[in-house]
Amino acid sequence: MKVKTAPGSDYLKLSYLACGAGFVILLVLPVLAPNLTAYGIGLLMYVTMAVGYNLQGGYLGDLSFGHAVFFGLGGYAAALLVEHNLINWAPLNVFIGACFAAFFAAVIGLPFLRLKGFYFSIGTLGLSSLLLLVVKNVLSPITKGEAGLMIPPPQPYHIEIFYYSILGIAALSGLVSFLIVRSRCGLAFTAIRDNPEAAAALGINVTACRVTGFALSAFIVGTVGGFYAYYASYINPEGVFAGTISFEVLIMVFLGGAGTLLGPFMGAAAFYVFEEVGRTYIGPGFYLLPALLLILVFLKMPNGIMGLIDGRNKKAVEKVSEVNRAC
Amino acid sequence: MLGAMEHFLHVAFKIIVFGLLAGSIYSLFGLGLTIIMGVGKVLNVCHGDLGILGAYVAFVAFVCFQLDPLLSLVLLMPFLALIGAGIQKFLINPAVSDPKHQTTVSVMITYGLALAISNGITIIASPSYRFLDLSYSYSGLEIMGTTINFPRLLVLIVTAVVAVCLFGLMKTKLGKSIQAASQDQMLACLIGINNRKITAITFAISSALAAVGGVLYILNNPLYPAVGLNLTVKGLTVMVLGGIGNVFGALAAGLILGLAESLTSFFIGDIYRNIVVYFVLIAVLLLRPSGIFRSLEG
Amino acid sequence: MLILEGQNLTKSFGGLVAVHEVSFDLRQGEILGLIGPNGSGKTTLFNLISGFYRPDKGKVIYRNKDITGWRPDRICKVGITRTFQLIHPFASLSVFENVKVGAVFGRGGRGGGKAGAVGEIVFAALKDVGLDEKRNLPVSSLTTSELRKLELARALAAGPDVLLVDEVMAGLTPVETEEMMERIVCIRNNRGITVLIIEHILKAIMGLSERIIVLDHGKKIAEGKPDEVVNNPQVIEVYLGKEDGQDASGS
Repeated sequence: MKVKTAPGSDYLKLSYLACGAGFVILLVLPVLAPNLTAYGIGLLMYVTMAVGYNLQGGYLGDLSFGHAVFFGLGGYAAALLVEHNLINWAPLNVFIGACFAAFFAAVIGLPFLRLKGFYFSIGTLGLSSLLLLVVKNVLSPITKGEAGLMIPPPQPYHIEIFYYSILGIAALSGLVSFLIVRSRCGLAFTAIRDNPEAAAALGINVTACRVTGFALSAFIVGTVGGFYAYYASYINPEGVFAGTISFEVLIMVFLGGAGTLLGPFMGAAAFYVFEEVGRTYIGPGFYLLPALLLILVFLKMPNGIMGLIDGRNKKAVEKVSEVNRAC
Repeated sequence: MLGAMEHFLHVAFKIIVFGLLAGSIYSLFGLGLTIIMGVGKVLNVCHGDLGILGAYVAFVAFVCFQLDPLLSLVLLMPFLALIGAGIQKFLINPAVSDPKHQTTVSVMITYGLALAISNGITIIASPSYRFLDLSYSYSGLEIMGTTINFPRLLVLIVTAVVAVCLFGLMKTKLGKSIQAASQDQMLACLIGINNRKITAITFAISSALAAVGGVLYILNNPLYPAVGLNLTVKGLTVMVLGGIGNVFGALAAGLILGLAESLTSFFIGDIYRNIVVYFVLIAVLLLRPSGIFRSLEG
Repeated sequence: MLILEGQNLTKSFGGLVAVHEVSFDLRQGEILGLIGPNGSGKTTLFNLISGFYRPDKGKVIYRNKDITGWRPDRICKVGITRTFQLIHPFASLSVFENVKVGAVFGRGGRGGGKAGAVGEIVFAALKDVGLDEKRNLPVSSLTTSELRKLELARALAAGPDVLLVDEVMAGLTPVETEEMMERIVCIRNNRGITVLIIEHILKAIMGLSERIIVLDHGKKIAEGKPDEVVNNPQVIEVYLGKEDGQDASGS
């Protein structure tokens, strides 16, 4: 039962190769070009967030407009443990932060995932706006509000430690998402995204799958939040709960191709490069550059960069709507 | 005793007026968003930015040519309507392959536009705050012991006029087509309504409303490039509260939202003002996703 | 022997009563037809049985067990699987993968989780509908009748005892309709499953089913053998009288 080679699978192999090469380059980056290490950290944070978002937004098709919530919660949970002298061992704090983000996602997931399509998106947008204000104002006795929290950097301080940590986190997230996508769970996710009713009719517990996807996604994004808190040695509400963060992640994923394994890597890299180039050469208002990139990509390849390589989905969707119209 | 009563009335009046004032601007943004979402399933996240784009143009016209912002609206509305129709025709339509994905794709494209507009403005005009210094800003009408300055009165009047015009428009053939498309695209298509055309026209009307909202906003508020997204979020809240595609709902929800804000701000504290807004948004979504006026739709 | 039973099922949306006090029973191994004009509540009844809607009133009894209000996936796992009136394929999966979803998550899924077993289930289902040659193609390359067959294969792979079939012949040519009818009878005979089928094409349902239920405006107006039902004056009035015009456009 050998699967017939789909058109464009050569490109697919090429892109896997490109990603492998990218990984090798990233592995030796701090040795080859030490002054690029900080950029590498930024890039890898974006990549990991995009991988996390893709598990839910890409494979399950639930578009959250509020993933900054999990970034923020992961960061704040890690930072608060330090602030209140409870635990201060970076890996553990980051892990607890991520667990907290995942737990929160599971709890709010039950009511929120009952919302369909766009209502879920708006709900998560409202939630992240609400949480920003709650952390900033209501919880300010604990979170120090707008002033934010300082986290003393772990000693001894080496930027390479941060670099290889986030590289490890990114690689692990990529691996986890690969394993999930190839498993039963991934099949269920795709089925739910393509058609939730049919998925339910064939025995998939749609709600349980969607909550699982939401929590997994939150866990990965929360990990980056905790990492960021340590890396920046500082965390404040506007910095981690801002709506722009949610939208940026969303855009990276769709830029690269939602629901593809390599899409988030491609999208995050493209977005990050454009953002950094803009930041360096334009100054304030530098988001103009990634914004134009986004519009251009969507006009020319609606399924993102990877969609150009694997256009199977689009054709099928057109076919189905054609047949259903005819009946 | 009488003094206390008078004081209470005075305060109540102030809360209501300021609530309605903020609310009418929310209504305008919500109206624009709700009609285009209702008709074209287009979630326009650059709506607020289109509004502030209009506001910046009006601001420049005022500073350079002393043109009153409300007068410049006469030119601004068709200008933004053209931009809106153009966005639908040249950016969203070509990018949508399956109508099912219209909402998702429109979010991506319009978020790109939102970034492009606000950052473009930042590059040209710097991110700093701008204040409109109108000659009639400092005089006003005294009602029940509260002075309401003219710009504030204008906001209420213009919103009322726009709302009346919009309801009038809904009674025309075009308006009926818009409502038909809003209820059922397939059916509208069957009775000979060109959905793509109607969507573009609706986008134009929606953008013209954004221009009105933006200009009214700067009469009383500082203008800066990043405020567009805030206005979009407020508009989205209004849209959900009012029920998608429900013109009357959006109008009422905006005013209710404004009142809720000013009540919260007075009784609980100013920092809770937006917290209440988002809390209400989430509660309504979870409990009554079709908006608070479902029963009125029949 | 009774396998599935509906008791006084009622469902209304707002003011509109879509299904009103409908009772039916399904006997092991039979093919029961469900007909009625557009909007008579056939698909709503399917949604009530398969757990997509919760009835306002009434019960669904399956093998002496009350399954009213169960989630669709649980209902599938006890052995009732449905197809949809509009085709609902998983557009980004291949034909094989589409059917695999049924095999992995359906009734057999939990027990025979081995990869080999899943492959066999999928293959058998594809063979029963005649799609085994096309298993590696993307969904986009299938014709209308093949998409309908895919819908059926997926449901079969879930391993049902009761199969609910919703207008599986809509949009097919007369020759394709004939083939589909034969396949459904074959599937019933070979797999020993029970079929409840909604169909618009009267000729097809008359030839296919052993008994027929007629719905009109959400109410059951007739039940019996095909020839009894076509001669029922009430049925002729609400259904056949109007059907002349529809039949021409429908097939």
